[in-house]
Amino acid sequence: MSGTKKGGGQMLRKIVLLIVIGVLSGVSAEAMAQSCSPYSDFLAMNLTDLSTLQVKLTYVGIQDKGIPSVGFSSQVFDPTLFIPFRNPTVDYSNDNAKINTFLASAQELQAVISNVGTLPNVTAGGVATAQFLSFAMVNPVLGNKCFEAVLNDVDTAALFAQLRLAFSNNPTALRRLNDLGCPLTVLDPLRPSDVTAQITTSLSGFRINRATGHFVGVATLTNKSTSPIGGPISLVINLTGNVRLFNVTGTTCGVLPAGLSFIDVPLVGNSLPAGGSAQVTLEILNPDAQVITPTTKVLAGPGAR
Amino acid sequence: MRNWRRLRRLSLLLLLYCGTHASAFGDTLLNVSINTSAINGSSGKLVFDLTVNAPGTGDHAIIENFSAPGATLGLPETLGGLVSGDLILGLNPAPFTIIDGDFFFNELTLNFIKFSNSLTFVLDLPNLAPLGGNPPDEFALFMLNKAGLPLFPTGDPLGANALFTVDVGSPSSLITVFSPTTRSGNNLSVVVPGQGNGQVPEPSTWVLLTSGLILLILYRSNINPQ
Repeated sequence: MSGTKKGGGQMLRKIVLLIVIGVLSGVSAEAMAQSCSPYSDFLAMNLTDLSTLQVKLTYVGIQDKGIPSVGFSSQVFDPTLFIPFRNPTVDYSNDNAKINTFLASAQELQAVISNVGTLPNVTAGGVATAQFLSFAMVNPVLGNKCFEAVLNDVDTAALFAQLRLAFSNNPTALRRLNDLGCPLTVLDPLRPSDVTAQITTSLSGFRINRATGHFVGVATLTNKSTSPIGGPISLVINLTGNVRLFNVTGTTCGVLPAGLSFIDVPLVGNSLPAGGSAQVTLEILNPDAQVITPTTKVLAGPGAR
Repeated sequence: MRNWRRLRRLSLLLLLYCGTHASAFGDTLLNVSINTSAINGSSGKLVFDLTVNAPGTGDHAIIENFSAPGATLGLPETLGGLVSGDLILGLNPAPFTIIDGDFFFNELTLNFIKFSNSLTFVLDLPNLAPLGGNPPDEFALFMLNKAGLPLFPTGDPLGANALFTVDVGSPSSLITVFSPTTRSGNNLSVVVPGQGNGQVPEPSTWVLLTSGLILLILYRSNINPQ
């Protein structure tokens, strides 16, 4: 009888112990998930470590419509890696929609870590009182090492300046940063020149591509001036009605009028020589088969379009 | 009643055409021949597309002396502008057909129930300058399969797989041909490539097949000695 009682007590203790271990392990797992590493851990990463680093920029301030987040990595960007580290006091709803991504080399990521390392308000991590932008990093290979700084608007502008420097040779990255920077008004302070008067833009006729349903044509840009025009060169296209440029590089924000589609023109040696020509294919979405009568404008040089 | 109207309109168009044609020697006239012997007996579509950026201002495409000896044509289809003439009536040969540029996208599709060895026609396009800096109007010819997708890839750099295009302009139009189309002056020649390339067994396949058959015969003779 007493043996049975003793056995029952032991069983109860075991059960309680198991429950306590279970609860503690759950808490510790959550605590581990929420705790991130200091910025110095990322500064110490070598190129091999950085090749698996994933970085995400999310607008977390007040908004009346979605603003797509930006993610970059040397690998395929995986937004789900950031979910376990979400801060419950921050609104990450922009991550639930489409995230604009781009590929960054390990060297570029090293430049990001190094440049951002000069911004103490960023490297300190934590959450600013006036939440504006989440700058988050995760390295899934190095034990899910993470970092997050939720910045105010001033520190966001400083962060964007350093990111633009780190990606100065990566046009796609600069474009993606400007796409996010436009609604946040943290654009590249540089502006391209309007070279429309120096360039003749001629458009071909349009025909339908049955595989895509898009109308396709070619824009030919000829430099009619006596000096070369430095790139990048962007063709801004204003279309009317329910006609849209499909293969856009971006939408104007830094130059007026804002909100027009533009496409970068492929150049040899990032320059269009005097008398030289360059061509770009235009894919037009035109579901109602309306006339395609675009007006165009040409921008040249670095800076926010 | 409707046929009367169509006939009257066609007569007017013919009169207009005859009246202007003598003075319109600046038109682009192309003699098109398509060698379809590789797809003889199979079905598909020949599609004439005309995109017009100032609809209703007189641009059109005329298809003259269309002939596909031995081919069987089904009912044609059109999109956009009015198509008048012999091809829309299903005739073969079809001396005269006009596609009006009444809309941005104007299309005549000839449904071939059965291609024969060749087809020929003369394409007549006016040299109209684009209005007010608009892109030029464009004529494009396509060959499609029954599903409406390109019958074979062409050298069209825009991926549309056109056989050739004409950007209508003044004083002359820009004619661009894509392989397998070739051009000699105003003569455009298309040789449709054979379908199902690479399905002919290679010599090694023949060796394997023959040895397999021999082994099968030997095996059968072993189990059935009589």
